[in-house]
Amino acid sequence: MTAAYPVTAHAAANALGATTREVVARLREARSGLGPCPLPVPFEAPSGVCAAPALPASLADCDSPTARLAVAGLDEVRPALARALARHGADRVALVVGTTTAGLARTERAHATLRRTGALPADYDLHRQHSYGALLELLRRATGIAGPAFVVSTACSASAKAFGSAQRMLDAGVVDAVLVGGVDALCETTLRGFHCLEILSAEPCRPLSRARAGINIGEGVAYLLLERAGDGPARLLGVGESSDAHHMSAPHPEGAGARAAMQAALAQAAVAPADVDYVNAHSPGTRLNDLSEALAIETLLGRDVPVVSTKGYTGHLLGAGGATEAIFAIVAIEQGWIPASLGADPVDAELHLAIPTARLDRACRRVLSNSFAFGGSNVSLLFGGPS
Amino acid sequence: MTLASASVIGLGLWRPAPGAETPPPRLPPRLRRRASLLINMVAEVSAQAAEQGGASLTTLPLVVGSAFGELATTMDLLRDLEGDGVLSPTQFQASVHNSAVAYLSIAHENRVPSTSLAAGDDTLGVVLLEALTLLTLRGGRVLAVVADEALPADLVPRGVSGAVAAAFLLEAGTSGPLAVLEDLRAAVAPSRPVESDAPCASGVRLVEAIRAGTSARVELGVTGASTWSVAVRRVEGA
Repeated sequence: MTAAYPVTAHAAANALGATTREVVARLREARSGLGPCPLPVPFEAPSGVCAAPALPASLADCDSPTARLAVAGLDEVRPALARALARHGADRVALVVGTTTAGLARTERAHATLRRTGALPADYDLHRQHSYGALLELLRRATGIAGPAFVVSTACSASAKAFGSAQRMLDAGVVDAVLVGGVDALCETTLRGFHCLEILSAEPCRPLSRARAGINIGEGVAYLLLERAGDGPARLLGVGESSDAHHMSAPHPEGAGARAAMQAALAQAAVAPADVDYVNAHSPGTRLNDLSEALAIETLLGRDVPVVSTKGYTGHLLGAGGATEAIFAIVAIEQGWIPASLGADPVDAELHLAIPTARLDRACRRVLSNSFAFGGSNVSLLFGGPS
Repeated sequence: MTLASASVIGLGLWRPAPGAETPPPRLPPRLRRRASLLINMVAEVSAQAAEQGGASLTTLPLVVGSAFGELATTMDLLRDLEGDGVLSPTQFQASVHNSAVAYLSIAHENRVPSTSLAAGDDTLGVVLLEALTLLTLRGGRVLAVVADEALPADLVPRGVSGAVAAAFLLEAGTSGPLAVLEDLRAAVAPSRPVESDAPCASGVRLVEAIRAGTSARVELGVTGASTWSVAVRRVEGA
């Protein structure tokens, strides 16, 4: 067993809102954040758009759409982070961020300029605006964190995997607090890539519904501060990870890896399957993912536990998804409600699961949140109440 | 830090050389055909280290670090983007940073948790941190790998370093035989120079330090931009 680590602060910004309060209010009211795609793609692609202000002048050399989201998302966690830095020492606080694209949105524009004019924009710098290291350097400068800092980049499970690394650093005594984050900005590459894979939906996505027609992409940022001890609405109880070893982009058909990840999260915390009150599913909106994940949930947890996909609110947030949905899990525990699985009505009868199509007001003590990714990288996070 | 010491039981190293611009084939043909240089380099150094240490790539946890990930594949996608705008589905799904981990996992039916990390000049440092943390908590063995392709000349016009990959098969304990890694440190640097073009080239330095068979503290960056270092201790009588 691992220790349970309190989440002493959390913040999310995405298509539902620029502050955690706005995000949670719209989730509670079952109002989608999806809207028209702002990027010039020649197909319909409803997207989750998140506005972020320009960087302060002191960080302007690191400018990219991802950098703006990453810095904007820090605002709400700054007071708790400042306390943690003072309490533990800056070198005892780590930073682990999940992202898939880092500064790719910036590089797309720079590369287009290069093609058009024969030269990169004068202020373009791969090392300051594109690379994973650039994102870390930006966040070190913006936060004062001086402990280990790294990016986990396992595609759509990235910021859920980040909790695994964070938990292990705390377990081993390497640090006393970890700021876990996830961030990704909308990119043409990701939109066109998913379009070419023929899984991008031209309509707002409908995960878990028999009317589903694929996924939407969203952008956003989320941070959670994990500490060795402290007060917060929830604790990280377990992190389960597995690899499918099956296919680059298709999940294992029986959901073997998904099941192994959930089982590992429960085992780590010695929590019985029957004690899970709610599952935040990965379910991005494809039939293959839904069937595979549903089998994994049904065979491990049974047919009665409420299962919800929140991708209909935010779109698939890629590297920001795991951390964002961890916050949705915490909100269920803190506030006692499970969001409607937006777009799931009419529910796919092939899925033998309890899928609420309206909000359920009920206490949640143990919540699982799943994130699965290209390459068969599976993570399941288990959260529980304060004690 | 409070991490356990680790025995080095296998090493892998690959760089392009005249007449050997690509690594020898290590992946099954169905995967190799579509694999980037980065994926093939990781497969090659992983196989070298596993063979030397007598370990199976089916059961080893993989911690793979790359400062820039699948940047060459991403550049191909950007060129398609500005052409007809139609991307190759195969290239798109192989453009994720964890492609190398995924290809190895699929090739060897490896279902244990593995991860894919990046941290600029600190990439080798954080890969060793993750690997030593896993060994401290769970014992057993971990394969730590760092690899980067040469940066694309389009984006970094000043000229760049070449591709490089290095692997370290680590086991809990201090018996060697190749060396013991201990006392991993990350000093606090208030300000850092901009990251180097080939952060993972520091993997070569660590492999060479271990092969030299002496005891030394090895810096884990290339240009002084990283503050990470680790002590390499020779194992007497090994």
